[in-house]
Amino acid sequence: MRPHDSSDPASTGGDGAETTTDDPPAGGRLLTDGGDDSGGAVADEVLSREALADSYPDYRDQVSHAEGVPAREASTVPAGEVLRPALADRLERELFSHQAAGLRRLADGDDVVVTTSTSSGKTWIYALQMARNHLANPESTALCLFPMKALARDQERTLNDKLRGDWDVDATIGVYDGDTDQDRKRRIRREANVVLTNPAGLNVYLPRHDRDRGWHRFYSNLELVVVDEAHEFSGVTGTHVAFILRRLRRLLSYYDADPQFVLTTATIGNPATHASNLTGAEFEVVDRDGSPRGARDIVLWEPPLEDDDLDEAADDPLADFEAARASTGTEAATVTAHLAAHDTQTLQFCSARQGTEIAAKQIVRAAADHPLDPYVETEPYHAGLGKKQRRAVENKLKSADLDAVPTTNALELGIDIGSVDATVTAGYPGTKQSFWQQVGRAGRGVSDAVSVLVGGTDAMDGYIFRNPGYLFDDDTVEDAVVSVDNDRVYADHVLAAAAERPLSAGDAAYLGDETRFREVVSMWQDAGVLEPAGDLDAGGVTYDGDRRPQSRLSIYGTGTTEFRVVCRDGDIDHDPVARERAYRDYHVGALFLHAGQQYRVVEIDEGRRPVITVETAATDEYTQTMSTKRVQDLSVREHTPLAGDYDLYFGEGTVRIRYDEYLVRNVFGGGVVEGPVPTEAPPLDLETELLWVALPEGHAERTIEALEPPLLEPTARAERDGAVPDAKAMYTYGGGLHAAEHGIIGLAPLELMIDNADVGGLSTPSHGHETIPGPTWFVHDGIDGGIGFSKAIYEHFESLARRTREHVDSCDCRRRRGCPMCVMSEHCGNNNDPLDRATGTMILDDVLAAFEG
Amino acid sequence: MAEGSRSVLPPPDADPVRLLSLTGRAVADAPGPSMRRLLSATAPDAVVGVGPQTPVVRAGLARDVDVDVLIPGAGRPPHATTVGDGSRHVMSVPSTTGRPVDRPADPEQVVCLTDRLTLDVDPYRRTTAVDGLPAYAEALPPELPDGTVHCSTRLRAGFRTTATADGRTLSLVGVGRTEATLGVGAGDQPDAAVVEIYPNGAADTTALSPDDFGLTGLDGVGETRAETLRRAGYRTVEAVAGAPTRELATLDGIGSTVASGIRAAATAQAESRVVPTGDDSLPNREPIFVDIETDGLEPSVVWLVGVLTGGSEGRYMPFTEGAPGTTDHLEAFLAWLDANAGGRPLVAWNGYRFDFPVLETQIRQHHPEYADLWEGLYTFDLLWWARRQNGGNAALPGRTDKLEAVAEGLGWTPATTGLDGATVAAVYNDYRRAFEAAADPATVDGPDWRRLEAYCEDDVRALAVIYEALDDAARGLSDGYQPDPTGDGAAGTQGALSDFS
Repeated sequence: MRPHDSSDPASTGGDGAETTTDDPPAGGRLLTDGGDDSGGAVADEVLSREALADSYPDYRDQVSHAEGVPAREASTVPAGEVLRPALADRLERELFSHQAAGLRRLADGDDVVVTTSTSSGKTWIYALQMARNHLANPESTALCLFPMKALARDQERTLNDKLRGDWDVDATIGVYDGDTDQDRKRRIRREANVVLTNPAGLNVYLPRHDRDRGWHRFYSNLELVVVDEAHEFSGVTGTHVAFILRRLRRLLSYYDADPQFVLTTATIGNPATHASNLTGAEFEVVDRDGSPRGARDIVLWEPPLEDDDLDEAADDPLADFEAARASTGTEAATVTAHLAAHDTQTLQFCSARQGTEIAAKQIVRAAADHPLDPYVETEPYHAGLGKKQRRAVENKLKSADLDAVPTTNALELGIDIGSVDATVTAGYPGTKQSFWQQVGRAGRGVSDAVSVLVGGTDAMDGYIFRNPGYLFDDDTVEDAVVSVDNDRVYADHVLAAAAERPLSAGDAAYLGDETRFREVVSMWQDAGVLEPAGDLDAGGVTYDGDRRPQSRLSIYGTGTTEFRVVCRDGDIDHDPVARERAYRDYHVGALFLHAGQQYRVVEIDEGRRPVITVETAATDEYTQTMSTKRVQDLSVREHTPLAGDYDLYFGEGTVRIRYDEYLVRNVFGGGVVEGPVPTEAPPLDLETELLWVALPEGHAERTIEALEPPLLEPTARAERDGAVPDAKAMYTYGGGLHAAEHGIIGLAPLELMIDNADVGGLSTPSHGHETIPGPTWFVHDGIDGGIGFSKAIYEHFESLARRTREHVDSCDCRRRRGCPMCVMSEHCGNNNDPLDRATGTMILDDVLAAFEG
Repeated sequence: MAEGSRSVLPPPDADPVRLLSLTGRAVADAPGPSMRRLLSATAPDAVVGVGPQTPVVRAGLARDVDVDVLIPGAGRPPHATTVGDGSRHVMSVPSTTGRPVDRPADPEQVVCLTDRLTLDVDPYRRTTAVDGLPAYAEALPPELPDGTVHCSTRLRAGFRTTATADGRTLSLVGVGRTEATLGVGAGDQPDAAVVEIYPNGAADTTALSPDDFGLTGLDGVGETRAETLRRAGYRTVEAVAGAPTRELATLDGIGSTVASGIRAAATAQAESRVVPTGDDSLPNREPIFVDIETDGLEPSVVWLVGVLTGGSEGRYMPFTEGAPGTTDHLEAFLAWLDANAGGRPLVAWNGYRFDFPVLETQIRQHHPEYADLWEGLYTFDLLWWARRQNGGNAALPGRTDKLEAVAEGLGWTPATTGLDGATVAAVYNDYRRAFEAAADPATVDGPDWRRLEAYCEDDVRALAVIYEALDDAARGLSDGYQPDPTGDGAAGTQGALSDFS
């Protein structure tokens, strides 16, 4: 594994009067053993074995692990040691040590990335820097970028309260985005010291830098750029943000403005690298949290499984498993009701498929079944609610008029809803940072809190419930993935940059790699969208394409096609969808959950203005898209030769995917309600990045030989589907390859902030490419051009394969065909057929042995 | 690939071959009157059919044109046509008969049309290439006069490049639409374009929207309202101009404000004049008209500032860059303003969006000592005043709001031809590159500055013509125009200035 970035402890030593509290020791206690006082009191009262046995309906030892995170004292520094008296005197309290450290670094001229915990007061660092800059130069300006409009508005209030209210700094602050009216926009351009917006907005506002006196003033005086919640900018959006910020820096250089950067992020494994990827600048990391917190307990809650109900030869293994296991959503609602019954105000983060409205009903039902027969006041919270309704729920949470609120993950980010006593997370949310953001919602100030993770049905849940240490180990934080290598995205931003100001040779300093820059400029000159007669070294190259290229950039994909999502019977606030996702998840008939509401796709129009039309739906169903795939035109970019004719490659290739059918399944049991139904979607060609594992010739035969009988019986489905081998030996071996491929993809989120829907795979016993003598499996980026996911998996391959091997081998399901918590995937285009854990483990063993040489 | 010969200027007074390229889709969608208006306004020597729906072009236009409709790659003739006195020849290559097309023995000018040349842009290999060259070159007649241009319906209108095939250097011109990956560099490609090709190989392309002809070309009229008007019997712009506003206002979805706006727009077009729609007056003081020439639409250099004083027949002063990288001409312009501009409006077309901020950036960068002078000037955007200020003050003739289109709508004719802003910028870029790259810049031949200055002069004089027409109209002096009694000047102009945004 790559060493994770962290600030140099030696340099923090110089931060003066701070007293450092080390992060809590990883060791925990089991609540059920009682006695240890490192955790909080809440859990002892409500979730101890006695309390559960006493009052939890039909308690079946669902608590599989509990960990106490001790309270932490504040570590503070007198403001006067960091800030000049004029400003320090206006603060009502001392600074937390991380705030002081950040401000010191900024005073030294560094760019800073802050990765301390949720509600540790990260905003103070940039707010005070704004104040400091403003007092030194009232003309100075600052630009703040947020991942969501709502967050920008929230922070506008906060900054106004602090700067203008508490600290008496006369700075003008305004949100400038698509919702700002024209008059206000004009005023902000003319007067504002602090502009709050989002990267998509900045992309289209940048070109006016020299067409408007206000913007000219603003950029000329720019001293600070803030990127808040920067971990949100990863994957394809991160790639675009990286280039938007590079375009900004390039323009600023013409204004002789050289602002400092402050990035804040949730805890990620590579803060310095991520910040540098996003901006092109070098960063100092501030990660030693000086804020106080109460003790908290984290409880892992595993929904019970009726082993006896499992059918080894099920034709639809996914549904079979789901039917046998208590639903994550229902179980979470019961836990929430139990907490609420004990006067513990609870926020429940809903599972991927559970609408908040459904969850609210489940909570009420669970309360009715609870032995204490409590009255539980609950209301759902999601982005689909109107502003008024949202405010009402927020206020009732603060005033304790609500006992439980089921919510979407929209509440992870810094929106002010106050804090609650407990959180319940229904299914691992995909990343550690997301999980801890949710946990951070519980605990008022230094009071105690409890958080429950109810296990979901996916490989990550499976891994975490077997290896709970992963959640608490600071050394295993995922990296945020941002790649600036996608040439299509790069080429588009080069055009945008040219339209902001003619390009010249010196721009390579911001737009990266001189050769790449020149080649792309030359490509566009030949294509006639940059002035062919221009020359980077002699006078520059002007933009000569259609006006406003920025308006055609889609930050949600790598191409220029994006689908707007409109709702036929109401409003929907949905980000535009890239073509790759549209074909997979938004074909006609697809059901999806957005902001807590379920929708069905009724029409997809790929005309000049692509639109996906949806309608609201209220069903107990979801859809699963099936696909067929081919990989061709491989070219190798990197190669790791392993012992014994095993090879690992990274490169480019064309992945042709047909999303041709889909299944309609029941949310609760997972059973197929309808289908397969044809999608009528055309094939999709991705020219993308991928890795492949090339196994030696004859590996299949040798593996089968070594395998203890019996071989797997092909399913009835295998006979119907030409893509699935139905000769026993190849069926079994194919199942092993397929399991290895699924296993690696399923656990990729252990190391990377990645939605495993963003990568795809293919395993095959043979492939025509010269690098592939025998069987192979591919892992590819799911988006055209690639955005660094398969590259990152390539780089982390050995440790990922090791974890995967252990996980696949030891899964509690104990079934040859595995379960959703080891090798089955709901994204599988082949309906999880064939899969064989035993052979998969052998294949991974062989690959790992080849790593060792 | 070599860069295009975009900077070749046509010889003065030369007569071009005028091709009108049209998509089948446009022909299928446009109502008959719009198509006829488009054809009569553009007066092409030949129509070139392009995709999508290519075959519709010939079928759909049969009764509307008396010139040949050429469709490269189509099985049916005609495959060629002659222009003018017969010495100029337009022909499809390759012909589907497999034989070279008959052509005059010694043509003065040949324009080849094909659907075989396409562009391939590959961002992953970072290359652009023209596909189809070897086969195309093989199908060409052996002898072609100098200045022969090869037009492809599968290259986008406005695109120019040169390519070598079979030992020959070919000058390629796009007359259609491309399927190449142009990323964010291309928006919707136009459904129509006029491509003028001169005997020396110079080409001038104007993209058109068929929607600008006929009812949908009127401000405030989209497809829905156009249909409403048609159903009510108003099938042409002239018919709308002749309709009483109160009758238009009884139609579905058209209130009285919209009706008077539509009628004013129709009148402006039908009668080739400006029609006042607002109450604002023009500045009192004598205007100074300006127009700038730059190195592109997102420029870093203003190499020419054209100034006109004393009205449309007044004195023209070009402030032209001495050598790339110098800004003495800007300083001279500013010094002149300092002495002469006091209180007078500096008038430009679309100036708030382009000329003024571009000049301001240049001044701040190169002559900050004049920044205060600049900020104190009275800048006035005539287009803004006409179309936007307080809801707009006038309806303009011309199918678009481009300066030349409006002035020509008023009957003005330019003194220079075959040039447009993009060509002029390309000429400058060509020169600048040669100058900057040369060991001894003094040896680099400059472009024909007089011609470029004359092009700029056309623009400022056109601007003055529009200003004067608006001034006359606002004072009620225009030839007997009576404001519509129910219109009372409250019309709002709804169209966005999208051409300029």
